Formats: sequence, structure tokens, C-alpha cells
Amino acid sequence: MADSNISILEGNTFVVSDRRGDVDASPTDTHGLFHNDTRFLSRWILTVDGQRPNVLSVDSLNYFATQFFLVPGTGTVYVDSPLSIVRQRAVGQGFHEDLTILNHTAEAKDVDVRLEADCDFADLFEVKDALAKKGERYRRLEEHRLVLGYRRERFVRETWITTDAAAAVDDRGLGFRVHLEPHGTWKAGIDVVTARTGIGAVTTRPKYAHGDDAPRPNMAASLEAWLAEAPKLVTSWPQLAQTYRRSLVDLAALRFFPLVAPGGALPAAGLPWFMTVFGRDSLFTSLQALPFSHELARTTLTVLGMRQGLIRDDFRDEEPGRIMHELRGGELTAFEERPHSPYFGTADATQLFLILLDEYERWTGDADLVRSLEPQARAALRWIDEWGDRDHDGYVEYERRNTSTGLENQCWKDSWNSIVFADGTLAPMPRATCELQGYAYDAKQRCARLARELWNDPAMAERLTREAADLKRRFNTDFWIPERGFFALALDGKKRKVDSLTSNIGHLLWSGIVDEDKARACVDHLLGDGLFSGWGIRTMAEGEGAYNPIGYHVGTVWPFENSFIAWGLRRYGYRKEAAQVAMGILEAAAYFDGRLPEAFAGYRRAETRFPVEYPTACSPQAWSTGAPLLFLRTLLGLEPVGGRLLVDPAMPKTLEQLELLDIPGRWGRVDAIGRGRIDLGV
Amino acid sequence: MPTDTARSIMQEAQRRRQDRSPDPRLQGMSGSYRFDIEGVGSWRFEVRDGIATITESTGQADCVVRCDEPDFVRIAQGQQNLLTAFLQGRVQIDGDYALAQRLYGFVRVTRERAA
Repeated sequence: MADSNISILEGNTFVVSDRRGDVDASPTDTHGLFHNDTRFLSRWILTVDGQRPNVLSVDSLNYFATQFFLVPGTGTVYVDSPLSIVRQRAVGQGFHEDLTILNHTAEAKDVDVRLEADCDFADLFEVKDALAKKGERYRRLEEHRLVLGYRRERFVRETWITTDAAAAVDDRGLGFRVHLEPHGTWKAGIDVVTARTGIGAVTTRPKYAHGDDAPRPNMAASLEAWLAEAPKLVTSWPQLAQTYRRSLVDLAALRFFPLVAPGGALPAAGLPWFMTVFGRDSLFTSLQALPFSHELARTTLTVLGMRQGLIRDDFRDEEPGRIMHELRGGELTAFEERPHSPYFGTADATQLFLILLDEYERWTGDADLVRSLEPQARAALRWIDEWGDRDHDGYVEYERRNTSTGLENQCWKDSWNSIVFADGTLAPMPRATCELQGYAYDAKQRCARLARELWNDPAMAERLTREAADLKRRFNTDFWIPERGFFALALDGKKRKVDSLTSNIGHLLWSGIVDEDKARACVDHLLGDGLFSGWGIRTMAEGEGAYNPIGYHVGTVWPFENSFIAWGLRRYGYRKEAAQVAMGILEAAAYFDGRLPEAFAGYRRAETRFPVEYPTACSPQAWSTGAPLLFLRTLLGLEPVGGRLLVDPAMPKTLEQLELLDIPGRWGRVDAIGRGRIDLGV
Repeated sequence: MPTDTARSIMQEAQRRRQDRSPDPRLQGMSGSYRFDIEGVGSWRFEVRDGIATITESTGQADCVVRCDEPDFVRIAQGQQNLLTAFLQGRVQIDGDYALAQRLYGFVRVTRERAA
């Protein structure tokens, strides 16, 4: 499952190139050097004697550095090449590239090497939607420096390109007249700097310097520290060990270091489109990662609390107490042609914020943070009742106020056609999807505990407990479809039950809102042929009107979602079924070299034999990266209770023995060891 | 109606401070800010739980905001969002970005209350 693009990233700076290392952006190719949602380089093409080299191999050293091995050539038939070309690249404040050419012959060689450079300074939204620029691009030559720039009023962005080798710098790039002695080597170091970014002082150098042939101190050190801090996994299944390490490394790569929380990191959502703070994605990923790292949850709670909605602002779909959806820093956001400064159109992040707050305290015992966020938590609870419940029917529903650029679907299934009836027709707005009610129930239950134990407000605890019980009672009547034996996907704007069979019922198990006497029916559906593909639970069941195995939210399998459903299955005591879901996705991960994509197709496992990646899936994607971590928690049955960590493994025999050592928490560090005892019968 | 100036807005903010009650949305918002208005002057805000004590001063502050007078007036009057002004390059911010983020909320809540 080779990817034709190569991506390296550091925070919200990343480079996407082809396998030659060339950047050649087009409406259909998302190549470029990106920083803070703006493309700082759209063309970066190497030629040797006028020809683009051929690829021998690509070696991804780590998430922020890679090297490309090339040979000159004009045809497809390989002949022994007299020259080798190596491009070593490390990203950070732009990127540094070391270009090396080796002469393998006993004769001297002279070659013309050229790097073509250009930039469109596209906002990521412009890249996605193929929009035209409104400002003016410029380029100028300074002493040994090519400056590519863009100006719109006082919005200025510049890329600076320099080299330490003798070069002819012109306004289209760099040219090198290279003389190679017999068996000689030529080297050039090239800096491409995101110089004017709109934030802070002008940057004059990339993070990595010329001559670096290994990862440089701070990111490498922080990666090593990150891996050293994580629990150690001992398993006889090599693919699981690979997946675990891949998840930890990718999660490290996706860490986003917000300026508003110095020293802290939270998970950005995914490469390439979502290298920014997303409420929902950061919250889900932090929940998945809690047994392995507390830092992500701490920073996520801090930053989202700081950016919580304060007023009603229809352009941003902002409401008091609402937790944000997405923050962007590109041109369209700056000029308010997009509402992402930040945008608040999400109907679940507020509940998930409260859920994470409680779960974080249960793992860490960090009462100080939970107390400091009490005002934000109270505001979030008010949002659920006063703003989230738009028509005061006792359920959270959504409908955007920003009707031009706001999000139509404000649940996690946010594509336009995801909330449909069994006959395939769209449900009218506003929509109260079922999982939103489950999250609200869980949030109130959890905040009742926090009110009782940490906020010294027993009356609030009692009220929240009462409200949660009332919500559960009403929900189990109003959303239940007795003739089909599952919960409706949503109530639509006319309060009709949206009757498609979907994965959303699995979220309900996770939240605990399902009456015990209805759980068995839900589980049978989740593991039945309609929803369970053999790899995982589909977003929509086979046989439903809108089902499409490669429909983004109407048939594909999402690893992140399956990880929460498996957690929910354990919550209701369905140990074997939880293990079955966990194993399906973990076995699929082996086909992706341990890196689970955002989604894969819902084809039956028995038919395809391997999981088919969804065509435009983001990778790495934070909550897919977090999925294996949550599956490990579920398989080992890890639950913080009081000041202790309970371990109650429910693992398949095929896993033999699983050890997770040095799990951090309020208990210090403890080990969890499980033995596979469940026969999955496959 | 005369056009507001940065100085008149600051004077009005100083005067209003006397009758302002704390807003729960700004609970915990504390820190010092300085606004440098190009060609006009500098004002220092000492904020405690969302209530600001304002003095005309070039004294040290945790977060310094610089802009020209028209942009300041537009931000103060709610015609220009502070964050997007920053992204556009109309406003420069030095110092503590977390405080700057809280200032964003302070301006919006204060503006809403004044409306």
C-alpha cells in the first residue's frame, strides 16, 4: 500500500512531495511546504542536465526528515548510472535540504543542476476548493537570496531561499554548474525558510542546518523522551509491537505546540488537511491516549477551555460555553472569508470536553486543573441545556447559523449525506443525532462526580444526576425503534426517527445511556453481518438505502470509532465482542505497516482478504493513531477506580500473553499483564 | 456624532470601570497588558478577574499589543475581530500569547456588555 507522496512534518509545518522529493502543486496534487495553513512553496523541482531524475528509493528517517536516492535517467530501463543524487531534507521553520551528487566513474563530469522554485501562497482552503488569490504575488532577488512573497493589504507572507554553494540565483530558482572529479562528490546545502509568517519576528534560518545527516537535538530528544515515558508493550505478536510503536511515533509527530500553552502539546487532527487544533479530534485522541500520556489531555483541556465560546456570534457559530471545532491561521480566516478564528460548529465537543475532564482526573489525580476549569465546565453544562438544546425538547440538536460557510453536519459524521433515513433520503434539520445525547448523559454523570468530589457542590451533583437519569429514561423511549431493535440514528427536524442502522449505536454503549434490556440487541446488530465487515464495524450497515462501502460516513470502517465502540462493549460486559472488534482492526493495521488510516472500505473481509484504504483518507490521522492505544486499554481492561488501576483482561487466545509495563497514573506506575483466554472462533 | 479616537475610548473605558461588575465569563482572567497606539500613546491595563484598571503608561506588561489608531478604534468598537486583525498583520502582539487569547475574549465580552 505504497503512498505516492512523501510527507514530513513538525507541528503545523509540513512538506508533501513526490518520491523524487519534488514539489509540484496542482489542483489535484496537494504538494507543498505548508505552515500554519498557508503554502509557502508550491514548486520545487530538481533537474540534472535538464532532466528530472529517476527514483531509486526513499528512506523516511523519521517524521521530520527523509532522504531521496535518485539517478539521472531518461528512460524506464535501468542502466548502470554514472551518477547518484541524494536529497536529504528536514522540516522545521521551512526546511533544509542537503543535495549531494556522487560521480561513480573514473572520468570527471560536468553537469547542470537546477532547482525551480515558486509559490502560490495558497490558503489550505484555497487548495481544497481551487479558489483564486486576491492579493499580489511578488519575487525579488536579494544578495544570494531568492524571496518569494505575497501581499494583501498588510497580510504579508514570504519564503526565503538561499544556498551555501556557488549558484546562479535568479527569480525562478537556483542553478549550479557542477564539476565532479573522478569518483568525486559535490554538495550543496539549501535553506527554504518560512520567513514572514505573520506571527513573531522574521525567521532567517530553518530549524536544521547544513550538514545535518541525523535528526537534530530538540525534536529528536523530545521524541526519545516521549517514547521513553510511554509504557512498554511486551507481546509475541510482532505486528502489534510494530503498530504500537508506529502509534506512539505518529502521535508524537502530530503533537501541536500551541502558543497559548507554552510547553504543552495537544494532538493536531491529521496530515495533510488538519494540522491544527480540532475540538473533537483532539478530545477523542486525548481520551484514547490517556493510559499512555497525560500531557495531550492536559493541554487539550487547557487550550479548549481558554478558547471556549463566550458570546453568540453567528458567523463563527459561537455560543456561550460551546467548545470550539476548528482553528485556522490562513488568509481566508484572516480576512473573515472563512469563520475559523475559531469556528465553533460542533455539537459534540462540549460534551466530550467534560467527559475528558473527568477521565483525566480519574487517571492523573490532577485536581488543580479540574478546579481551575470549573467555570469552563459550568459554562459547558449550561451550553448543553440552553444552547445545544435549541428547541428545548430535552435533546441536543444542531443547525448551523452561518449558512454560507458553516458546517451542515456538526456531529463526527460531518459529510453532507451522512444523516439519512433507511430509504436513503436526507433527514431535515435540525438534527439530534443519537450519540450527542449519549455524550450529554455521560458528561452529566461525570460532572456530578466532579461536583461532589472536587467542586464542593453537592446540590449541583444531585441535579446533574437527576437530569442524566431523566435524559436516559426519555432517550430509551424516544430514540428506540422497536420494530428494528436498535436506536435511531437521529431525530430529525420534525422529530421523526431517522431509521438507518449505523455505528452510532456503538457510541451509546460507550456513554452508558443504553438500558440494560436493550444492550443485547444493539450488540447483536454491531457484530452482525450488516455492520461488522470482519475487519471492523461499518459506519452504516449493508442493506441500508445509502450504504456504500466506500462512502465516507455511510459504509466505511473508521478505526477510531471502533476503538470507542469496543470500549463501550466492555462497559456493558460484552468481553468477547470487544475483543473481536479490537482484533479485527489491529489485524487490519498490519496491512498498513502499523499506521491505521482514517478509514478503510466496508467490503467484507471474506471477499477482499485485505482492508482497502479509503481513497482520500488522511494519514497519519490522530484518532486513528490513538485507536490501537485504546484497544490495548480495552483488551487489558484498564480502569482507574479510586486511586488504583484495575486490570481485568479479556483477550483472545491468539494474543497469548500481553504485558503493558509502567502505566502512568495517580498510582505512580503499574504493570498490566493479561493472558489470552477467549476463543474468538475464527 | 464626533468620531471616536483611541484617547476618547480609553477615557471612556477608565470611566466605565467604576460601575462595572465582574462578568463570570471573565473569571480568572488576570494579567497586565499594554496597548501602544501608533502616534497616540500607550495605555496599561492591569486586569483582575476581568476588571481592568487602566492608566496611560509605557510601563512593563506581560502582553503588549501594537496597532494604529484606526484599527484600534475598529477593534474597540467591535467592527474588527482582534484575532483576525492579528492574522492580517494589523496588530502586533509581543509577550504572553495566552494572555493575548484572553484579551480576545475580554474585548468581545466587554463589547457585548456595552452594546
